Amino acid sequence: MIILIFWIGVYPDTFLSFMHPSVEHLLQRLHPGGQEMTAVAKIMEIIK
Amino acid sequence: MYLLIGVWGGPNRIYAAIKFFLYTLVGSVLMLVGIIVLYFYGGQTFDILELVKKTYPYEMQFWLFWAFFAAFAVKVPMFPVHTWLPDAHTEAPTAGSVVLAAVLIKMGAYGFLRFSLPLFPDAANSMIVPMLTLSVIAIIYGAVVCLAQTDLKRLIAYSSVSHMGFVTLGIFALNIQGLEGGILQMLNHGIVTGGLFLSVGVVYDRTHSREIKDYGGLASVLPLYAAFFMVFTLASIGLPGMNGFIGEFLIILGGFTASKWAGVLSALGIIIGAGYMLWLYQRVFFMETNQKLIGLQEMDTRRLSHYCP
Repeated sequence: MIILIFWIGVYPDTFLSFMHPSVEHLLQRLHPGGQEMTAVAKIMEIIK
Repeated sequence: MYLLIGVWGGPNRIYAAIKFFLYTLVGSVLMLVGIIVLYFYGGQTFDILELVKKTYPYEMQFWLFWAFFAAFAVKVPMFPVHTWLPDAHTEAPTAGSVVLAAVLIKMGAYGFLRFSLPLFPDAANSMIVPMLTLSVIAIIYGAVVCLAQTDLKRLIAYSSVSHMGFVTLGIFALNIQGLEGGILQMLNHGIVTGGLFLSVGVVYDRTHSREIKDYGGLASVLPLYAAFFMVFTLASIGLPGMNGFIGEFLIILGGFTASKWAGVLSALGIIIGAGYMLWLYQRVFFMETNQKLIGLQEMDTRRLSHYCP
């Protein structure tokens, strides 16, 4: 449990990349035609 | 779960088990009606992939969304149908609380993601404001109620209401940050709250008390246990470098994108969350050592192995 807590905290992309295709598919159903970036890419754009 | 609470639970187990059963039953009955309507309208099939391909008129989506919502909101649990959770957690045995926190309440959020959003996208889009409002109320209300709790398990149960508010906030933000944060937070909450309930079970087995006032100074008696509890506490708060931070950060970002007020108010919930968790840690592990706790044995290998998922 302790390992998982730090692993997700330091390398979240391990888990986020797994869920990304499903989330993108769901978003296409919710917002047809909308182009969505990955969460990480969007955060980087906001920071820039 | 009904049997776990009803048979192996605490002194008030029958009340908690029946309350849990009734809440779940009422929500499930409404969902069953929705499923039957969907069956006849969706080409007489229960195949989810087939049902998702079809488009339903808005008015039908609206009513079916609420029928499914009734079941999933009880399971999450969302405000105001959350009251079964503290009773169920308080009366359930440690293993029951862990299963309840780590698996069972995630079924509601999974239901939103698997059924409500893809089947009724138009209704989901039009329900953003009420859903975000209920989520923010759950976050703030759950956190404020935690401040008044005197029972360890009840406090963690109310913190679950607050944390699951974050999950629903992320899901109903309906953007990529919110959804990914919401899903990740489901995993995070399962690990962290499961760990907290396990930890409470460790001391409850020895002292047979869940009252916070019966503890104090545990850090000097059980230093290894205190270290484990500290990691779970900090992860629950959302300290950077730990899992809670990633989930809550993405959710707040998603919530802020959907509604500025939702983002701001949910951030307030994190501040209150840090308050009640650190205050709990201070009262249980620091302050004056309760004389009854002196002589408690540190966690052995068997108890440490419980933390392995």
